Amino acid sequence: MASAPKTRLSSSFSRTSSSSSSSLNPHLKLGPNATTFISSGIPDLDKILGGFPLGSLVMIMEDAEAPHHMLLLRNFMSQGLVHRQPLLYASPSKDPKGFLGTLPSPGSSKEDKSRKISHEEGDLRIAWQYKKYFGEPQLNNNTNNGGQHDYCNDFDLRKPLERQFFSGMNVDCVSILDSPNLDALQDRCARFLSQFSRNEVSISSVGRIAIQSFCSPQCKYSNMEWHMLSFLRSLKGMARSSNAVVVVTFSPSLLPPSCSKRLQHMADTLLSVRAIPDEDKELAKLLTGYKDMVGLLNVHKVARLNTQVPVILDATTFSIKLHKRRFLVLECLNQAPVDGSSGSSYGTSGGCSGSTKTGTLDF
Amino acid sequence: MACHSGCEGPVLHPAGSNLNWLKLMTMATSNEVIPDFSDLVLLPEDLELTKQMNELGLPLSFHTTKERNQKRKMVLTDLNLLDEALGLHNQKDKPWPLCGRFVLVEDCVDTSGAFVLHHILKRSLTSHPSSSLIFLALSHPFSHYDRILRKLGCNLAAPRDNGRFSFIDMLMLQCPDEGKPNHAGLAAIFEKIERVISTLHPDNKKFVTVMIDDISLLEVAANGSSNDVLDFLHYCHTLTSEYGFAFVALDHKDIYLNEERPALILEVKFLADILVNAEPLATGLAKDVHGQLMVLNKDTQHQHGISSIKIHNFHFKIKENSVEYFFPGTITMS
Repeated sequence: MASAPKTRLSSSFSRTSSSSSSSLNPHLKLGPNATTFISSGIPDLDKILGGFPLGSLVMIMEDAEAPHHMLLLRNFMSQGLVHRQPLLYASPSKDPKGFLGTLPSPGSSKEDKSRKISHEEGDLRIAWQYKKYFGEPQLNNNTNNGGQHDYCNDFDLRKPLERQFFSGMNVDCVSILDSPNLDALQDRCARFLSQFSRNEVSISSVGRIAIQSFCSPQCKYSNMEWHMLSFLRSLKGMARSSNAVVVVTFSPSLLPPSCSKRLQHMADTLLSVRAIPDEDKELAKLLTGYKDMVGLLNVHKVARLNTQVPVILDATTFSIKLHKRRFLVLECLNQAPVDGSSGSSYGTSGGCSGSTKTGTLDF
Repeated sequence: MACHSGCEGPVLHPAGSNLNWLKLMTMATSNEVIPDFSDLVLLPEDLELTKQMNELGLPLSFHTTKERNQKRKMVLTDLNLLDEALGLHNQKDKPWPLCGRFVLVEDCVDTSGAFVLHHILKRSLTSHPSSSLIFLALSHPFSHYDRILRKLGCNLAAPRDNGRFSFIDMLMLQCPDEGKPNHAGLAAIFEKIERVISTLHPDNKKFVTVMIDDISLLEVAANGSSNDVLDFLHYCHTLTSEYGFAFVALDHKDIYLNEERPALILEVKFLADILVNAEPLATGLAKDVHGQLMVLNKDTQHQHGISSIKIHNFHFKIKENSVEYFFPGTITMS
């Protein structure tokens, strides 16, 4: 299979680099082609993409009917704050600072362990004869992110982040509701990114920019299509030369199709979220664990910095689930067994191979 | 095989005698033939047929195993299907066959066509010791291209230092807003290109390539004024006729799909001598086949007063140090 050498390759990368990166910053992970990853704040998404490479522009296409993009955005911001990385947050709300109060807090490792064990048990119970298929990825994961907790945390969506994380100096909030154009925001971003300009060999600090609902119609500039495009283009240009990741969410349905396509081309990493209709009986029959699904996440494009090779993932659609109503989990879509109703009990324990938590055992 | 399903399908019934003949041919020889669109000279009116056949997954001409083996040999000697489609294989008459031609690469969100630029970039710098290249970068910085080209076996730093490769970084370019004459920004860029050309060593002026890595970002930089961008591209295009330069540009075709009057892309397509179209497979993403290329080569040599068009169709798989090209269905697993 093509995937086997690939994983081996990436693990060898981290092995050679582990000594240097650990001395620098445990919150960073070296990737291929001289890129450095920071965590997206969602462990499963980090497993799929490796994280977000520094200097990249990540775009999330919103679903007009559901706020699932906020789940991704919150975890991304929280992860940065927990790692003491400076953050610039812009949103079209009147009080963007208030949004910080809704950020999730890292879950305790105790809970996490119990979750892992329950998964392990689940795997064994469902299909012990398939255990050999789980063996290899387990090893890889262990070598890949040895200090996994340093790189990425599990976030408890029901527990708000402690104030000490965002009361400091390193959070900057901007409201883009009343500004007539994006020049002010561009200046703020330029000033923010200038702290992280990429001139030294070692990376001392890393910044995160999160822009929520970029093209929302209540903003005064929302009909200035070319102004928005050139703002994002220059933001991308600035980000490229700095140690920062920019995440922008936008709603493609509110834009003319050509403008939305241009934005999609600009993105280095392109994701989209979709809500699941509440009572879609056909879909419920097709997919296991349909009841627990909150929404769907699509990976359209994976960042290709310093390389021409496209990243082809095993699956591009993942279901967003809330584990114990607290933790955000991504799972590959599983087709239900012939009898859909009995399959649901298996679905909760995560029969999917790609993104379930693998065991704690170290071989 | 695709041939069989195509033959039985109801789609073929209304088609003309040409198709019926091909149907027979396919049935008779479907085991030995390899679908191939290369070496085929088409008149413009045949394009419709090509399109239909393409949709059905049927070949327009057939090659025997012997011919295929000859092709294989050619692949081994460092030239690939893309080189052949672009006309880079006959370097006898001209060391840089793209001289005086405009190559337009089109791609979409799912499949990036940037690798075609990398390929032409490498070929143009290695074609002749005195060839030179002017690169207008709007989407990626120098470090990105340097790393990619180094893996492809071509060092960009050396030609940059001796003046054969000039990299014009326009990542932060923004043309002045309304009120002031808007075209000032793009006009300044063209002046910059001319200045670079004038500083080139006279020996290096023979085989020059001008490359733009994203036309759509040029539009954004010009605040959406597609007329200014068109003017700029026209100016660049005159370099091909005036000095015999090669001109290579990339654009995203899916941006213009929903526009009522996609003037820019239509006009640029009309100007182009060679169109390279990168698309994903109709069946979706795959690990072994990353997409398909259609190269449309409008021949400059006129036959009976009508310009002929060559169409090449093949699949590709991108790797770090090379790109594999193969005819549909002939991928060799290694």
